Amino acid sequence: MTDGPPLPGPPADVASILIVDDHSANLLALETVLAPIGQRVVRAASGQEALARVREQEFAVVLLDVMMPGLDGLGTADLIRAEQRGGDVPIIFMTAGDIPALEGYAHGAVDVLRKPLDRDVVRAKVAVFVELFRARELIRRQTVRLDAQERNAAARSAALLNASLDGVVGMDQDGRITEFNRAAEVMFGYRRQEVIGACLEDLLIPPRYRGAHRRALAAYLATGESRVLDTRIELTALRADASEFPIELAVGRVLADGSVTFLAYVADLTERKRAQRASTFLAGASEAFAGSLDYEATLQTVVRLAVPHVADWCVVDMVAERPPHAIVQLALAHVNPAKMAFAAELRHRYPLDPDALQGVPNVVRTGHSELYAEISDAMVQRAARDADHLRILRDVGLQSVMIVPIVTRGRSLGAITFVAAESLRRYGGSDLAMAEELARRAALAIENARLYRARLVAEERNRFLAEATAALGASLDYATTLERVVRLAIPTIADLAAIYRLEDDGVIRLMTLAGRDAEQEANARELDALLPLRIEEERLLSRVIRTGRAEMIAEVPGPLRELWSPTSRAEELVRQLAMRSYMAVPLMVRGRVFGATALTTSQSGRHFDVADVALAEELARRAGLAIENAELYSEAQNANRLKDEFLATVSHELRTPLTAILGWLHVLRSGRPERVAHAIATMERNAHAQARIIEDLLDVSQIVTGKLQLRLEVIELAGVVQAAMDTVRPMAEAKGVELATYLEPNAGSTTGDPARLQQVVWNLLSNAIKFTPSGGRVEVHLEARPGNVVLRVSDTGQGVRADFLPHVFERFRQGDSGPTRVHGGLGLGLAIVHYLVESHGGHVSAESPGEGRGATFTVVLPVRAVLSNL
Amino acid sequence: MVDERHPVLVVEDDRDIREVMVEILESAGYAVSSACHGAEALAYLKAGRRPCIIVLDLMMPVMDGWTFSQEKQKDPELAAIPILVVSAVGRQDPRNASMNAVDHLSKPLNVGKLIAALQLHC
Repeated sequence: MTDGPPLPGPPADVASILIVDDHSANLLALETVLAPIGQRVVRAASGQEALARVREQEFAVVLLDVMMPGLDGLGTADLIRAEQRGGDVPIIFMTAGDIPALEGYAHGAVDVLRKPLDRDVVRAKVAVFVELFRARELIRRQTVRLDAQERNAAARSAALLNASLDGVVGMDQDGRITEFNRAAEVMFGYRRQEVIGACLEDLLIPPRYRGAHRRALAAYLATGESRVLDTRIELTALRADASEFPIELAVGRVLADGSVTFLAYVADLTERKRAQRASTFLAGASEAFAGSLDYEATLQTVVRLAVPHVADWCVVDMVAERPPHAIVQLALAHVNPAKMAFAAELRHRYPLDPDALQGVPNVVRTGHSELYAEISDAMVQRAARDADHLRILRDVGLQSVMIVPIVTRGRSLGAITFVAAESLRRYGGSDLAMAEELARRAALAIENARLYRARLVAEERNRFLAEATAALGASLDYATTLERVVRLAIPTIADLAAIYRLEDDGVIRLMTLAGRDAEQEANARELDALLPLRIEEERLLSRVIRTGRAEMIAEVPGPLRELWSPTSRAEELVRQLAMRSYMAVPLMVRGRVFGATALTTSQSGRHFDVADVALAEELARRAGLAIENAELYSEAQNANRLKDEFLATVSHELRTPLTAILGWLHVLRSGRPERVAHAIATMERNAHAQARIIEDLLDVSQIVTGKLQLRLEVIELAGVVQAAMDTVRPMAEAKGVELATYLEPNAGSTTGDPARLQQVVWNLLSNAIKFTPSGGRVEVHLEARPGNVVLRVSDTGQGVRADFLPHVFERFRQGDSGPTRVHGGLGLGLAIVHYLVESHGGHVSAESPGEGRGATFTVVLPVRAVLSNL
Repeated sequence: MVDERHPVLVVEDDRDIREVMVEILESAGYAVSSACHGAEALAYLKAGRRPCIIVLDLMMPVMDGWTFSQEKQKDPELAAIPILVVSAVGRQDPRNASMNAVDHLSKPLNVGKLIAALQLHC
């Protein structure tokens, strides 16, 4: 242990014990006994070695063997006592002989232990001296050492004072400053020479504490007791610039020349307090983040926590989740509530420049923090957009600013800005680290919340689709079904949902609508009624129906509202509906556009996005299928009904003439000669009627099976018309219907089947006569047109209802069906006409100004018939 | 001279059938009146005429046989007059359920059955 470099000084909380014995076995044994005390044990095998150790370092106690060769224990003790460092180290003698204790004490020992040593006694005694040493050390650190320094060398003392990290301030018993080191100069902002001799409390103690200070000093001088001596206390101190700051203080006293001097060790707690506040703030923020998935509200809480502890003004800006990803101020707190509105207004008046090379947009873009430890007026001037802005920024009194990005998975979600103004705080590296840590936690919280929300939304959508599909499949009455589905869309998908149908006449009619409440629904319906919509109009809904492509307006802009508001009432309704987001998706049924589904958000404040459109399209697809099923079902039912009606009609039409024939046969058989002529005429007429019915049925059967054949030849239509006129004239005369013909003699020749064309004309004429009351008039026009010949049969009869006109040429369809039908017939005549005309390459159309106002049937045949459909 | 013959009302829209039925029933010894549809028949009855039976077609313009029957039943004075249906509409048609006709003859008409039915109910 004697060789090698000197041991470094022990750590402050470990004391050293020197054991001295010429027998190494004894040293080892002693070391083992002392180990549990937990202090550092230094060995020395001789008196000389012991002396060398004592010169190197301070010991709490020395255990010294008396009997040693050469320099014995007593001599060693004397030499140690003579050393400056070892002058007051307690020495315990260990002896096997009978050295009187008194002799030992005479050599400066504090105790004498007899060998063999009792290890418990050794430990107890050594422990006492270790404790003593530590207590002394503490005192020495605070006062005694200075006492000694003061005593020994003023210059060395001053050097030590100045080297101290702590501020050291000395004060005499009159309260005047006697010492003021360099650290104190920095801390308080005074030069040493400015303050030496000045009244301490006037300079360094805030006015409100000065009374207490004076009382404590007076009490000490009177009683010698003080609560502040030899302990650590926290106080508030005053700087030269009149600002206050927290300090920690230890006061010792120095007694010299009969007077007392106080020496205060001062630590500036500003940084520590700030770190404490930052960590308290971080803990609070973390708790807020962990406690809620509503991150918007959480960020509001966090900015409120930030003010005033870490900032005077704190703002959270978020990048909007939807394009164009604008930066939106989400949360704002200001130390002065009165300035909240002002701070918010500032952003309104001077919106962020997304391309700015510093500030929030830059932080968001680069993902790197910005720290402006000290904001100079020049910087403010550069940042100002105009004179007004500059004035406002100067009023704000920006001191220090830091902006940290909220980044997750390499993507900037936003930024948090901390502004120091009123507090005159200056942000530094540790503040920035704290802010970045906060931003990191915020990013995690936002990410979690968004994932959770996305999952929630997905679940809601799936549930909605499942419910909607179930509703769509529940009924074949699609009007009811669609109403149920739009209800289901509220409020999961939208605040207002409507289904529109494209009518045959081009009108886009509202079928069903559902909103959050009755008032909203009533407003929406009224608005719809005020703004009727047609397919050809250039409005979103009609465009969607025209193109079959969905459209969405994520944020309904102001100008659109004006576009929609041709009347003041509509304007008012649009305002009340307060549309936020709008979309329309086409409703396709069997490959054609049936209508559209329109969805709107308003009070929920939600914006539609691409996922919403996809959902709406999926819903529309399923609704389309449901409508298709319902339509097919209704058509099948309709076809069935028509067939049943047709069969009943056929049965009736066949039985009626047969009944007359059989009846009159019975009369003839019963021998009524005077009735023979009448009977035969009636029977013949009924037989013909029945034959015609059968022919019509056969024609239709051939048409349906594609077996109807035309016997084509070149014919003059005028002749065909004339022949048909001759056939129906008796019928017209019998009924009292006037028959007028206007035939262009050379109207044109065509290629056709004369019998079938005559059937066409006959059918049209007999129909006209049938539906024209007595005294009415039927006109036949035959005219030549370039390339065509046109036959027009018009009457003054009962006409055709507008809703029946499109169906007039369909098989089995009769404008008048059911038990009270006035007119007989199978309803096949016009279907046959239609087929025959088309077979000749022409076309037939019907028009009627309405019921009771007659009808006109127009047949257009090509002069050189195009033979089609054969 | 008082007409001893039983009065019968024939309601039929087809002129040829109406004529021949009147002819046949008169030959069979009935006093026959006729109407072209239900409304005309109802007017006839409201005028105080009380046939012992009504021979009724069903498919008729203006007022069909079913409606006529309902209207007739509403009037307690007329409700008791029996109806004999002669129609191309089958006996099984659901609309016939509430008719309460004494018999239902299908067209084309079997004259023998008609006379037999009349003799049974009148």
